[in-house]
Amino acid sequence: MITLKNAEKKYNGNVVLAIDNLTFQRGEIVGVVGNNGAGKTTMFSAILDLIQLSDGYIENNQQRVNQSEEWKKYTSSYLDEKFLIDYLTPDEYFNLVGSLKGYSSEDVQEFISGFRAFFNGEIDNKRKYIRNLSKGNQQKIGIVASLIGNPQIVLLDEPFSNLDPTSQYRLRQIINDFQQQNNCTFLISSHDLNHVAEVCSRIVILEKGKVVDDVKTSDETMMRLESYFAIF
Amino acid sequence: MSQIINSLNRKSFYRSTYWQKSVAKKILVGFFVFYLSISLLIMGFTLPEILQAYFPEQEVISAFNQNLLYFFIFSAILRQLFQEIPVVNSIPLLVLPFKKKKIARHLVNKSFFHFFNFLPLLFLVPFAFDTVLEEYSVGNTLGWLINLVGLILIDHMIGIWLKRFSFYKEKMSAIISGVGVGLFVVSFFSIIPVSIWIGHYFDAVLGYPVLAAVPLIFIVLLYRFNIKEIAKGMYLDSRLMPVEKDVSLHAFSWTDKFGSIGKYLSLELKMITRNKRTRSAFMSVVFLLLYGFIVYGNSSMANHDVSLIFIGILITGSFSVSYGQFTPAWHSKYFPFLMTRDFGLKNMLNAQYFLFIASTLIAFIFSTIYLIYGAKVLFFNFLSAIFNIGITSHIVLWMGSFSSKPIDLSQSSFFNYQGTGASVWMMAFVIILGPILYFGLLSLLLQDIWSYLIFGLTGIGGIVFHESIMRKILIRYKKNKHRMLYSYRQTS
Repeated sequence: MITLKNAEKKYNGNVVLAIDNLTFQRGEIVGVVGNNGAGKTTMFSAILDLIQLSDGYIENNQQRVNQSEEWKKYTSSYLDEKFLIDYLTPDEYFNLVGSLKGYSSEDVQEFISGFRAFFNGEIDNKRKYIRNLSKGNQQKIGIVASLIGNPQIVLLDEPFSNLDPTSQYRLRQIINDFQQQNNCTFLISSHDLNHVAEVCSRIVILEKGKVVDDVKTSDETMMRLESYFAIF
Repeated sequence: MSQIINSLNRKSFYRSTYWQKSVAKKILVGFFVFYLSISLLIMGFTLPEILQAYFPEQEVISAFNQNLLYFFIFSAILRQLFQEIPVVNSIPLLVLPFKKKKIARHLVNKSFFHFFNFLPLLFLVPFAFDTVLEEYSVGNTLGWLINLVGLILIDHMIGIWLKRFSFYKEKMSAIISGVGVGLFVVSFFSIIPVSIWIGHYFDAVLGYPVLAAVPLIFIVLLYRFNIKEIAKGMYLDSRLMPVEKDVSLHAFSWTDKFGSIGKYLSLELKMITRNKRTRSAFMSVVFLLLYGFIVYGNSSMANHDVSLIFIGILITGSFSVSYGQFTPAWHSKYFPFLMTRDFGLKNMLNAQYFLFIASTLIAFIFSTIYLIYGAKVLFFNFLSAIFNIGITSHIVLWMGSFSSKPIDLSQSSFFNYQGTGASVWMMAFVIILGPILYFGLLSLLLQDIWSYLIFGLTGIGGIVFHESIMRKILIRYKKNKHRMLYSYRQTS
């Protein structure tokens, strides 16, 4: 579905992303791991055409992301709180995202009600603006909003951070269930190797903007990840 | 320990974002402060004449004394609205080994350095030494002045004490304003002559300067009281700390009637009503609307066609000028969201344009009250409204694509120049001066009637070609997308 070809991004001569050839297939749950500065967020931003590549191109469904805007119809994302409109209430925000996908507010409410356990009663019917909610709750809102409207590709940047332990396990389940129901592609970046090894079907390790490893998840994956990242 | 606090204090002053502003902005703010100071100074010297003119049968000094009440009412309301005691800044100090009382005293001491406490001196001191000193001895004049300063500081201390109730800020402001206006009314219409009592008190101080000690005693008491109260409230969940409560929501559901641009309209309106920065920007719209009352009465301005156009553009375009000039930057915080969703930039811009039209029409309807200054005024406002809809609104949208400074919606816009990059100054220049130069040129070259006609037709032309102009604007936005995303990521 998504192909990066010779994708390179430089800032003042420093190469922060240099991917020769990388393709994500439909139905994959891809975990993108790497230390700070490895280029995870840069790659996501480039896929979403939020930054311009210095060289190469990225295709989403055979169309270059910087030439056609078709991808916006079936790709959704939550990278950080810049994807939230913080002076809206959670419900208003969900309804807005839904309306962009042609959903009525009843449809949206029905969809959202499936995430009641994830929200843990901290968001429903709250007459509070998103800006007044805790970071964890804001993140939950962003993640759930990115699932509205039957997307075929979902990009999540560090979705497990800021969440309490139970919510982290719930999120794992949500991603798995959602992928199975919709056969969609997930791109997930994370620092939490455990979650990634558990939830993803494929893992891409980035270092200094380059792909250094790209494996299908198996029983040995966790060991392989640990041997790569551990310092001893 | 107080050395540490003082050094922190100095750093917070010199490292505040204010000093990182560009030279041009510093000059502008500096000029504004200078202008205000000079005006007040001059007022101090000319006050006797003004008082003489309004209260011919009274002595100047006792007329001054009897109007002091109104000054204090005004300043109390202003303080309630604008003065803050920044308890929040002390949060990092709470876990360090400082006594709470010490932090509180530091906060109260710092609060004295507020321009509300200095501004009045600018006209009080000249008045005291220029006018009062002529009739009274130095000692009596000084006593009188000290008493006044004392009252200003009491005003200040009470203001700070009332800030304790910032939890109920809106109610409190309403109560203070209500009491103030009530006092003003009963005293102005001599129902209960409070202002005359105050006047008599100050007359008495001029006779017995020892009375000046009275406010000083109150200041010391209030000072200690404030420190105690603030120290008591230094908890994160106390009412001294600012909190955002649950909100009463207005959903603007009527915008649904406007079809495809409805949801963008409602987003826009929610943004205006729910954020501090936009709300205060909206205040300047109100100010611009009322601008006519200041200038139309002035015959030298109201007689020139060109200045009438200037005022007309300002009044009918008040929204486009003060709010529209920041147009995409208002959305800077969540711009990546808008750019990754199938958001329909076109609809969003159309909603923006719709707001410009609606606000121009509302402003024009409002401006019909200026009919009291003659039909010509209304005619010029009509011409300006057409020009604003057809030309200015499009220019504002077009220039918006050059915007490069993000705006933090949670900050008040009072003395806030965030988001005002060079392009914004350019825009204010183009929006306001452009039409004036254009009209000036027309009226130089042509007869009056033709210049009116062509000016109006230019506006209509803009309306006729709206669709194709919007297409051009849209292309600009798409072209500048990455540049805008990049510059909005930079926090100013």
